[in-house]
Amino acid sequence: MTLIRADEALLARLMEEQAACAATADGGVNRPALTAGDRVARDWLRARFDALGMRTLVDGVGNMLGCLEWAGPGAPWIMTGSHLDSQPNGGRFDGAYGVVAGLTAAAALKEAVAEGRLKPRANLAVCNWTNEEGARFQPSLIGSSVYIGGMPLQEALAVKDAEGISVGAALDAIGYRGAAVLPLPAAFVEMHVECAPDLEQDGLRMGPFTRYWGATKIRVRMTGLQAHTGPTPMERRRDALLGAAYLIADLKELCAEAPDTLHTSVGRIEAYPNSPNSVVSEATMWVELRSPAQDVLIWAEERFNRALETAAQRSGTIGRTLHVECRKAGVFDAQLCNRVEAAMAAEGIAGRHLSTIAAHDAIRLAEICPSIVVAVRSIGGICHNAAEYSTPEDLAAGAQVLVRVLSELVASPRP
Amino acid sequence: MPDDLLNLLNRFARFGATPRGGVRRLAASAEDGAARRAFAEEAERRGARLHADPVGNMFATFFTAPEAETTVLVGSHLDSQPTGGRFDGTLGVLAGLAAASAIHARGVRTRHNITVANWTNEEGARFQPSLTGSSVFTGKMKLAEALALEDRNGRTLGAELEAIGCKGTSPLPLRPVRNLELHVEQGDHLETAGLQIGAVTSSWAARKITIAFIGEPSHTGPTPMHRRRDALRAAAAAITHFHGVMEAAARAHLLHWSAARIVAEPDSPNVVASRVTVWFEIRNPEHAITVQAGDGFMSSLKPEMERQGIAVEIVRDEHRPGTMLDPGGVEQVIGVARDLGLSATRMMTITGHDALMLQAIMPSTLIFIPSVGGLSHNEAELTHDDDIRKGCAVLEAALLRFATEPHGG
Repeated sequence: MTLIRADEALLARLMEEQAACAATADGGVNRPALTAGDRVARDWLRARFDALGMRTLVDGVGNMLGCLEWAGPGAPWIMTGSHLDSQPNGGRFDGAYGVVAGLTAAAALKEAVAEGRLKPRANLAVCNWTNEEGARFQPSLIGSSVYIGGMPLQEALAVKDAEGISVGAALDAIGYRGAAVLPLPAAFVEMHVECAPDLEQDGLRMGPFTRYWGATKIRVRMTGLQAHTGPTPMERRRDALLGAAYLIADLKELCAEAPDTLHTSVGRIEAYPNSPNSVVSEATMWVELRSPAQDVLIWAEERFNRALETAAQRSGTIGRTLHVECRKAGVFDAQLCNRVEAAMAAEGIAGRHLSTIAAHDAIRLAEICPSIVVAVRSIGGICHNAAEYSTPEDLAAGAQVLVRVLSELVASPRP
Repeated sequence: MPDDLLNLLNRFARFGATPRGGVRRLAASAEDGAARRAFAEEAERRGARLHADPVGNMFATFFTAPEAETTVLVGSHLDSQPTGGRFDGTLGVLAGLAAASAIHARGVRTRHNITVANWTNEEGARFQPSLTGSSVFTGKMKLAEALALEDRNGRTLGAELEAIGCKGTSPLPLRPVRNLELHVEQGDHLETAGLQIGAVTSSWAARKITIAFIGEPSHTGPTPMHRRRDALRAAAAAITHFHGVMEAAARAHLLHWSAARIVAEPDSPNVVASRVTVWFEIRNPEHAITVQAGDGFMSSLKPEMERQGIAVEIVRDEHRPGTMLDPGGVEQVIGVARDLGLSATRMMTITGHDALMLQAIMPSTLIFIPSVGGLSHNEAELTHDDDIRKGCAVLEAALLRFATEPHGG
């Protein structure tokens, strides 16, 4: 088998094209799932699938697959890809790089197959999973969760955004509610920017994520009493925003008790009625606890419950947990990891094993097939920010590694 | 028609009615538009002529002095909090309508005409700051600035007034000589003291400070904790700090304070917040105390925020020194109440009202009636029918005096 190479100019051009879909003035993209911006990116992807001669499949939750069914309908499927949705004013690499690297690799493999340099024994698909980010609709990873059977389709379609618009209605609005039954993969390889500073700190370009952190995501509400902020005597106030402030402040202290093994955050808060002169009667918060160790997560959740009680007592409000979602810590497929490391070695790229703290679609895919994420260096570890950046050289090196791994898997899907 | 006002109140409680007996009638919303149209129709039916000014203030004039170019204003506001009570503001507009139309119907000729006013965006729930309509009327706020105010979704007050068809083109053509407003107390002083009428002498001072905390957006997962510049954590620390500073200051002074509005950006569960804006309020009878308490809070806040890598931007720092209302009006209200055999007291107000703003350009009078439990800005806000009847009787008698006396009494 002669060497198959990714076309670096194609990769660069595709990165530019996708970054122009719902671009923001500061170099980022604004493509929360199933918004008009997301639709622009999806339409672009569909056109790229067409141009590469890939058949587009869209399932009931809007997951998009570009398929090269060159090994026949009974053959196994190798899949790659990631997501085109973004945070509000997010970066142009997070997710999109994985889709673009997949397209670039598919183009290279297709050419090799056409020239007889690669004999495919497996079909290849490039994926764009719906609502990976979870910015507009919670939870995150909705598309890949439905795909693996981890979330009922009806439940996913009923999830609503802050404006009360459901996933189902949003899919209809942008014309991406499909009906295709997607094939299931023999392996899933996802390229992604690292979103953390470790590779850069170690002077390395790339590395497979071998482990993923667990996360406990809690939606919690403080309930007080709506009243006028002027005349209401202070001792009679039951201020839900004050309760929320106590809780958020206390959660920060929690990290000091488990340094390096616990990350906590509150990224979203909804206050009601949120009028400057009415005491807040309801404050809802989205809390995250993340750790590589399950026992730390269990401890942190207990500690959170105590903090909630304390915050409620201090503010005279009621604290109530509305929803808890647990994602356990785990490991990615060791054999795929070996393949990635071998490909990196063949490209002369030194790397290291990494743990991912952020969630990826590959974590859901790992429940049904061997799965891995390969991380490419993020400058400054910046992520979920328009200033997110990875160099064209690193992105190209990642695509070369992906081409090697995919061509091996397509040629011999069952090692 | 002693129960005219009660019937009107019941009717208007349907515009934006909420399941638990309150109203949701945010300024320049569709519900506000419906209430405004009903007000205009009802006033015209009773013989008034309608006028809307460019900021959407509505004026229904009963020409009880057709030759005069002067008028006495009586009114309040029809807008509400997101889940507000059905008396706050609405009582003053409808009581004004009931009283003015009763005087008009009796064919009384007065020295000044009588104009029932509905002021735009008194509440400040949807558009900040509050008292927008009366501020523009007095010249305290420029019209263009008011029309450009944006709500959370970026819609401007000007466009929303147009959308509900309530934006006029010219100022009120009559010269107002005096203003009168009836309002529920929103506190429990009258109820506790067993009194029926409050003649408001002056208002507490308020300092309203809007602060933006500016950090940096990053991923809530992998970003190391020590590298995060989390604006929501900073805002939470600021709110608890504010509470502590004010609690300490309240040992020496009678202080009321709150942080009641928060806007986080980008407001995604897995992005560290990059900008969080919080609306703080400090209230005390003395302006100097609110200034001192606010300064104490802000000077102690900055070093801590800098330590967290958070920039602090003072978006707005509004000083509302207490307002002294026209003393003559206070005596008139006390006298009228006494004549009607009602118990009355002079008292201060803690809340802001259009009447306080209007005192800047004319003698202005504010009358309170009891609020059950002092509860307000709540669906369960309540004032008993009998107290409403008494308040309306005082309003009508005072209005007649003001309209018949030179210079509005």
